[in-house]
Amino acid sequence: MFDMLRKIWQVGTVTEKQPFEPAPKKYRGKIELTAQKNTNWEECIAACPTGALCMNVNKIRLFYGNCIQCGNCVKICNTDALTQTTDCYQAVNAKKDLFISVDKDEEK
Amino acid sequence: MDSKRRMIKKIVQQLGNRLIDAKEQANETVLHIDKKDLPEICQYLYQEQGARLFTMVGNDERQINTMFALYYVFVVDEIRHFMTIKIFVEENDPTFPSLAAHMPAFNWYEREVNDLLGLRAIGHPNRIPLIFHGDQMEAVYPLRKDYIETGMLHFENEALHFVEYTGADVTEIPVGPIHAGIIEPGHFRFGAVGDTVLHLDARLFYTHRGIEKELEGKTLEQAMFLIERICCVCNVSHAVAFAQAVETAANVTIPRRAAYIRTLYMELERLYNHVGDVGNICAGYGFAVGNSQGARMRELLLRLNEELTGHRYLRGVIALGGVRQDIRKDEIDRITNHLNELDTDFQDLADILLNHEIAVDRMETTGRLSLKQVTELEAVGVAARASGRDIDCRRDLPYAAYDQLNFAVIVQEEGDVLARIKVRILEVFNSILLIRQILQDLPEGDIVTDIPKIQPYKTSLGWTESARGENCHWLMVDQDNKIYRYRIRSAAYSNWPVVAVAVPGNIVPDFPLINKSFELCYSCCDR
Repeated sequence: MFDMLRKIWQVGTVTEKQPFEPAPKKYRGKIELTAQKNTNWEECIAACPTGALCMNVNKIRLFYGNCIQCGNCVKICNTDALTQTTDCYQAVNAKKDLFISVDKDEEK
Repeated sequence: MDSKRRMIKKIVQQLGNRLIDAKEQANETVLHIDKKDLPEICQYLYQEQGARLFTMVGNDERQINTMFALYYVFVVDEIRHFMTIKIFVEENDPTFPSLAAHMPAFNWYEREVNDLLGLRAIGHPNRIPLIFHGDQMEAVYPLRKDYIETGMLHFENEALHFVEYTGADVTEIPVGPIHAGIIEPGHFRFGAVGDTVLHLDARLFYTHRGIEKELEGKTLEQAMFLIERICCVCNVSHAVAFAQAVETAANVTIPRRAAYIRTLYMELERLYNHVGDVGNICAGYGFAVGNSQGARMRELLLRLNEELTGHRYLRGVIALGGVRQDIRKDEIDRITNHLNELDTDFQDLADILLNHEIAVDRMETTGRLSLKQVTELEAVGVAARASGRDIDCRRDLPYAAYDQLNFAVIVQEEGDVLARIKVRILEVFNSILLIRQILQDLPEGDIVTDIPKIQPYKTSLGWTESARGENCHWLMVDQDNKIYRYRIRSAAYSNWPVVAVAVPGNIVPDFPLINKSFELCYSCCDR
């Protein structure tokens, strides 16, 4: 009985209030897609294991609903067009908000 | 090595002219026999040679050699060698002799082959559907290569496959598939006399997602991501089992540093599972302090995982031929410090739990399993070791860096909930010691090696000891280096049949406690 009470007393309150600390540096979060010239899009798309990244005519589309944030495309990409953030808040109100796309040959 | 050769030779001689073909590969002997000789030869291996069933695989090989094939993989622990019995089943006579009546462990395997491949086990005592819920309206077998996906399958007689009670005093209590807690779906039907459970029927496979079918035709790199997601809490052990199957098939040895880091991740996985499970068991009898202390320690371990690898449940850390993520010097210190804190912290929890009279009273003699029961049903992992079955494939069939580390295998005799908890508690301290050893002797060098092209239609095995028991993966690739057939036999698949045996004789309120003490995963059983 006393060891139980002692443990409760020692540990104290451990629950935390929002906002939480940002995710650790290594965390593999949301993939950001920006338009960059001379990116090796074909190789990036081939590296995607779930088909979340795809090409539609000359648009590059990324569907977050299928993305598992493995980071394969980021590793293979030769420019900064694809980057991995540590953002873990990815809920949206509608499915269409999960699609993003950029022009293949445009510079932003 | 000599005793191994002698034993294999003896088995081959015993088979005599019934042996059609024998093939040696890596640590496996594949013996091809006619299907009519199957019961006799399996019983010989099982009873006289002390082999235990590792997995059974049904495969549609009509494109390769016009027939279906069944592989019965046995392992002989004392010589660390696999004996695989292979039989062919013709398409126009899709039957094979059943072994379930003599060896109850085959019960599920044979019913699964019937559901998914349409191969009937003749003489099976109770050949009701396992994966499908009800009888099929028309014959559709998903694992056949000519299967065309048509969406929903239709079934009839859904409710008839439970035991029927005729006595007036027996109350039937249906529980699930939707449960009050956030757990996975499973339907349990108790026949209870008063408070005591007479019989338990468990219907699982609600989360059957067809992962084995989905894996067919995938490249090995793509498959890794799906295999990591078979179940949420054994990610590393499934991924390592797959990687080992590929490496065995390609005849590759991974760098020593990679082997050590893999072992580190596997032990971190075992640690957070066991710590969480010890806490969870307290929820089975409403002991809130133990429950929340366990949950707190588990959360700290998950955060450690996230800091080390970027994923709380350690996904994306294993690569084919090594590991993806290296460990830096400062991270080694971080782990060491955390383990030092956890060591005393968890000791406090264990002391509180094992010195609490009411808690011990609830756990003692509850859900008792005898050694005979676990051996006959081929239970693995914690459930087996708590009943005195001394198996642990980290020691018996060492993989990764386990053959270079010192550790004890914890065995208890009683087989009740308390024994299972004691095994877990001691394994936590074991894991801490193992991780300290790994961090101390971590060798330098590369962490990944290339995988060459695999010889088509060669089979290989990969296995790991997860927190629940041994996982076994069976792999066959086609000529494009894509997966032709993949069979996953997880620890939960071996252990679920034992749960139904452990419950009868206990009171109904103890069922959640017994179920939690096995801590089985539904999704890696259902796949």
